[in-house]
Amino acid sequence: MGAIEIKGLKKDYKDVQALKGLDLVIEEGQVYGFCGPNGAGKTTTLKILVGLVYATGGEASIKGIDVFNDGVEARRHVGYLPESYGMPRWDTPRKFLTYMGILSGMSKADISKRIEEIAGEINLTDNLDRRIKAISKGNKQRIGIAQALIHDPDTLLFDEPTTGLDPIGRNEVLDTMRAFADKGKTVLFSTHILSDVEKICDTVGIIHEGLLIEEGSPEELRQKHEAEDLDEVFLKVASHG
Amino acid sequence: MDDKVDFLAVIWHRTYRMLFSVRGLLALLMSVYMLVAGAYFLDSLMEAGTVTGELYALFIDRPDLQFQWFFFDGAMSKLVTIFLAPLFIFDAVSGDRTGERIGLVLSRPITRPTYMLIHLVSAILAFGVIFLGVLIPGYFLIHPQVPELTASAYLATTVLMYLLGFFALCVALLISTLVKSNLVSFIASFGLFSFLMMPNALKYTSDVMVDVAKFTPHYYATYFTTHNLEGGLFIAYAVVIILFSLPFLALAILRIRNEDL
Repeated sequence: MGAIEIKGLKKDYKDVQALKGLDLVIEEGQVYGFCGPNGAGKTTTLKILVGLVYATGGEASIKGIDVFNDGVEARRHVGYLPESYGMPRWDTPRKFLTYMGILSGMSKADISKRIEEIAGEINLTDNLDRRIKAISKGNKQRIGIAQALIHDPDTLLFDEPTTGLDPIGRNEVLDTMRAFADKGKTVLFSTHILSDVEKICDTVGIIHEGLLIEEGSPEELRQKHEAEDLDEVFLKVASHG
Repeated sequence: MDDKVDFLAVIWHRTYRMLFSVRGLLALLMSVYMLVAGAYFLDSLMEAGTVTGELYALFIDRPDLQFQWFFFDGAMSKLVTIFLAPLFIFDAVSGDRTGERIGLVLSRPITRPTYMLIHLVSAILAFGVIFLGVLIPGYFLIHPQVPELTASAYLATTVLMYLLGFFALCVALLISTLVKSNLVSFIASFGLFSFLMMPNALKYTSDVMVDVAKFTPHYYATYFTTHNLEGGLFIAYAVVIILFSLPFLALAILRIRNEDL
């Protein structure tokens, strides 16, 4: 059984078919890079998995739990970082993370302990008690990651987590995801930045016009398409897609 | 309700944060101001019985009721319906949308109806703490000067006004789910409540307005300012106000439940 399983997933918007029967299986402990051009259906897929968007057809499960019929139970296992998100500007990260922890069903004592733990892991400790509005973009992304990790989920769904970050910030986010997978947990992240994918992913999936058109390890894909890097693979696959 | 999420802890957290915020302070100042204004209004009418003689004439048969009427209809209904209750909820969903927090919150193990109830119940509590916290002590300040303002009638009308606040919260919550801007939600909520209270405010101008006013909960909330208190009727009118509110709450939940976010 895969940590994440998607079968024949469809999503129709008014005049656009965003997903046309997506099939995807992600094994436990993998870092899976979900690549594709704008509008390919990456964000829609992630949003369906966390119950923010309703699918038109197909099946999806996380840890064997049906996300459509038992979404609440499925979401207990998920840490989600949207592509764009906001946090209460006047709050401190500690207060914001406390609220997210309560919403995840944690006790106050567990939340306090967990906040310190995560803050240590992702270098957030010094900013825990500053107002969010005074915190830099890179550190805000750390808070975003911390809220996804607060309830110690076994599956991470990150939507474009490195977009807009400087190289140091990008590397830290990538390291966090890799470290998470090294603990046996599963990471699915969407991105345009293929060098990020090459650095940390076990498997890469390329989605185009709502369908998965290529999948494999970065090395396999490079060899298959006789390409020097994933950018080249992506251009070849997407142009034929 | 989700068994593993401590619903009460979430509610308490939100209520506490609302009360100890600029919003809470503003609501407190507004309540105190309206209480003082209501009491002052009563006082000036009593001192100079010539102010609005026509209003006095409405109570020519029951002068004891005029004080209730002036106090609640003159000040409190405006406080509840226009300003105070919506203040705690007008940005509940629209704020989460514009602040791009809704995705973070709803990716937690809670259902969308639970999310809506968290907003509603915390607003009910925050509103209750401010409203009842000002009105109940207010009785003891006003009563010595105005003995006609009896405890039972005052309390009954206060409870009905609180329920009117519940109605206001349900409607404002619906508006907040329908619009994507806090400013629009703010204007729409306050505008709608100004409009909804008009038939009741104008009910003495014609029989038609009395009939129209009966289609608003304001009529039932202020009923005992012009009529003697009856236990059965009080309960019936409390239920009526709740029944006015529930369709708005149901629509708000349905709206957010079926929406792609």
